[in-house]
Amino acid sequence: MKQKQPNPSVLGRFGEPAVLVLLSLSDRPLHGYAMMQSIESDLGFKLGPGTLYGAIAKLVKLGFIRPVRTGERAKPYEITGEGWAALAEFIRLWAPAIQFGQQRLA
Amino acid sequence: MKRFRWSSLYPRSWRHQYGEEFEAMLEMSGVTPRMAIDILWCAFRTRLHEGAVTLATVGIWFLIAWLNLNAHEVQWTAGALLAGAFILTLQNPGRWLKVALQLFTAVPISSLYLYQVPGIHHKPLYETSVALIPSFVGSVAGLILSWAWPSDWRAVS
Repeated sequence: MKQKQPNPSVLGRFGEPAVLVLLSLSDRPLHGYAMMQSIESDLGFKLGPGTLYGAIAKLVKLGFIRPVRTGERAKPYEITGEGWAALAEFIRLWAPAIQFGQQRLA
Repeated sequence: MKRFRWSSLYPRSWRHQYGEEFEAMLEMSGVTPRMAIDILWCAFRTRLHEGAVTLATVGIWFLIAWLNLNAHEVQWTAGALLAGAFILTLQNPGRWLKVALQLFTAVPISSLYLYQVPGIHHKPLYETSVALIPSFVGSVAGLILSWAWPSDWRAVS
């Protein structure tokens, strides 16, 4: 049965970890540990393993990311079309607020 | 000595889907005390969520059984079946068939109880199969609604 596509704006409603996961996967598919490293080195956030996998499970459930079959224990994930749309929507929604904040803090 | 598996703190369904890769990640990263607290807290939350769903299913099952034995009008039992199947399917559309069958069993099983009570006129057990109608209608309605309506509010819970 065809799954109804989730609303892309949902991303903003369950917080940053999911957004950080999507951002870390925006370059290439990564497994959990690589995601954790990328989020820390590229984005400056330290996600715990439980928080990371909580976000991964939610994103998989929403159809925003999917596992890549490799046969290895450390399973890489990649962003789906819906995931890209959700990430773009999140950035579109938050960009004016961040810009406004930066201006106020300047 | 057998190594402790952190994924064992999570519910079975979660372990089945993510257990191995979670362990693989922890083998690469190691587990600091801060990470251990994060795992404990997230595993607790996952179990709490799963436990709440199980508790709701059991509660609705017993309500249907109780209504089947005590309600004067059969519509009460049918209504509880319909509403219960609808709500539980909406919560997890992938389990619609399981939900419909699980809730339906409350009617024949509770009817079996009546067979043990002397002096009560009871209908043949096969007639309880009519309860499949409201349970399937409820489940299918939940399935249709979950399909037609944005699923985000359920998925984020």
